[in-house]
Amino acid sequence: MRVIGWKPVARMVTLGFVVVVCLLPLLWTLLAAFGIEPDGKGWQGEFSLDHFGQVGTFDPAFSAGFIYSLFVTLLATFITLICALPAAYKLAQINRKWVAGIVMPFLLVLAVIPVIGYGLPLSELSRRTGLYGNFVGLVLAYGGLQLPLALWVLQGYLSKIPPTLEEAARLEGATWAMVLWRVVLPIVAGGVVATGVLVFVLNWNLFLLPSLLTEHSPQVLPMVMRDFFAFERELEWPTAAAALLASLAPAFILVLVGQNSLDKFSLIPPEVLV
Amino acid sequence: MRKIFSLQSPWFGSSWWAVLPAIILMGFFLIIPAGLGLLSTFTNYSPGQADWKIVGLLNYQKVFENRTLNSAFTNGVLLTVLTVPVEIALALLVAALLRQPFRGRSFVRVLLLLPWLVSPMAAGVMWHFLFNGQVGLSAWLGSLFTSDYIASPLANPGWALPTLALTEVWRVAPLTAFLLLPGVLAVPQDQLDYALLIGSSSWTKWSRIILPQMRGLTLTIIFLLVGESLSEFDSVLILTGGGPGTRTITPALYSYNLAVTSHNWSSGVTIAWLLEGVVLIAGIFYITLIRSEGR
Repeated sequence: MRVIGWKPVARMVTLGFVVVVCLLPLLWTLLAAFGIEPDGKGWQGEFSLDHFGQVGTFDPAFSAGFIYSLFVTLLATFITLICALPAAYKLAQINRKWVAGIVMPFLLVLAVIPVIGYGLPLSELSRRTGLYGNFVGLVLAYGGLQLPLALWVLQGYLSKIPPTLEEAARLEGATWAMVLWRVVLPIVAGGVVATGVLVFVLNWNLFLLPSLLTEHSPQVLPMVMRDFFAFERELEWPTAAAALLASLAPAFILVLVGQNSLDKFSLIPPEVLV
Repeated sequence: MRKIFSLQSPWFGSSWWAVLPAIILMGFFLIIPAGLGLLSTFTNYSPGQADWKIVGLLNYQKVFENRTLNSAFTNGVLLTVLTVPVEIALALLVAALLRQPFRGRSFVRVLLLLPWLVSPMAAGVMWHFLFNGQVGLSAWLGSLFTSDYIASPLANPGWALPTLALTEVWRVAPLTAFLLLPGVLAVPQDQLDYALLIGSSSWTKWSRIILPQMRGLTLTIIFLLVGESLSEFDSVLILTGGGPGTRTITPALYSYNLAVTSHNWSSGVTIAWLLEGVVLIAGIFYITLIRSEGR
């Protein structure tokens, strides 16, 4: 018989407790969305899917906001990745102290600086250039906002690829772009997917930037959620819970799809062994 | 071997185009707006106003006369002090629990992202109802111990800010654990085996072997968290709107209220730039620390 020490058991119990506490608010929300509201006396209500339908009737802007958000977020994430990848590769190749010591930390600072500091002037600029309240303006602003972080993370992955690999491909006559596309990208594909998922989630949840760049419609989903909550006094908890779950769904599905890449994700990735 | 990456290399010059799209996009949508914002704090520029002139430090003088500025920055710093150490400590605990492999670990790791997937806006709506006296989770938990009505702590002047911090910890601590875990796992097993062999305690193992090796990663994550909590906006807006009074107003919310709601553009941007200044100082700290790491 295999003897299990008390330490692993204690560890699993603690871990289970932490995970349950962490998920409890969402479980409560899940129950409410399906019409079950526990109170001091027991489980009240009956299981139903009606509340998901009520979200649409309660606020017709919800589904429009959902679809608009999906387009903005997907396109912006794609633009961020397509701009970040070659630039991050170039930065990874410049094996100089000023890249690691100045450019990369500066990019991280750019990724962290509060949106309000450039969002207000950007709002003014986009009014003057006709990009205000405009799909293109919003997508480009989202794309630019996430670029420093994407660049920083991807440079981390790309700088761990041994230069000998690229040298070999260059000697075979491959151009710089071909090396990136055919040799380097397959090696860091997991990192790119994980970065894409994280950038998607960040974009999907943005509120301050879109509310500085658009007025009424079309609105992105977090803005709809805000109005939904602030102006509809009649809002009931099950409807709100259903709306929350619906707004969570795309990010959740994407995380499940990218699970393998996310499991290996690291801000400071290990060396690639060839 | 290195030669090919040096400045003399013939293909160094050929691929500079690669950084252009990123520079253009960041330039037009990040750096130029930020720069213009900073410059405008020294002028009396205002939207819809035809001409403007340089006024020196007048805007700064004006915003410093207002007492709300003090509350906003105190709250921002308080939120950071209340959340970041707790997030890091909890994340380290979870990472320690996940260090040993077991079936389903990768699933648990990805599950840690779940609270963070909820947008601050949606999380705000959720917590509003969770703290509700009738349908809320707090009321249900409270009913197990007492029959008293449990009012939302968000409406309580003393409890509003700590409660706000709690909701932030819920959203961000699991993400922090997700980001910290690779650092814990990267520590070579033979070093830990050796520690076990010479009979080191868990405490020594963590303080002497594991934590020193993940210093760079931890510093980076702390900087990300500090920046995030200093610029707190969405969840405050929806949960308390800065109230009761100015008990939970944050610098970003104050700036937004002035610039957008009260149409006092120059004061709003000036406060936004005071906030940027605080974050930039944190950034300089981070760069100094991370550079000393490399040597």
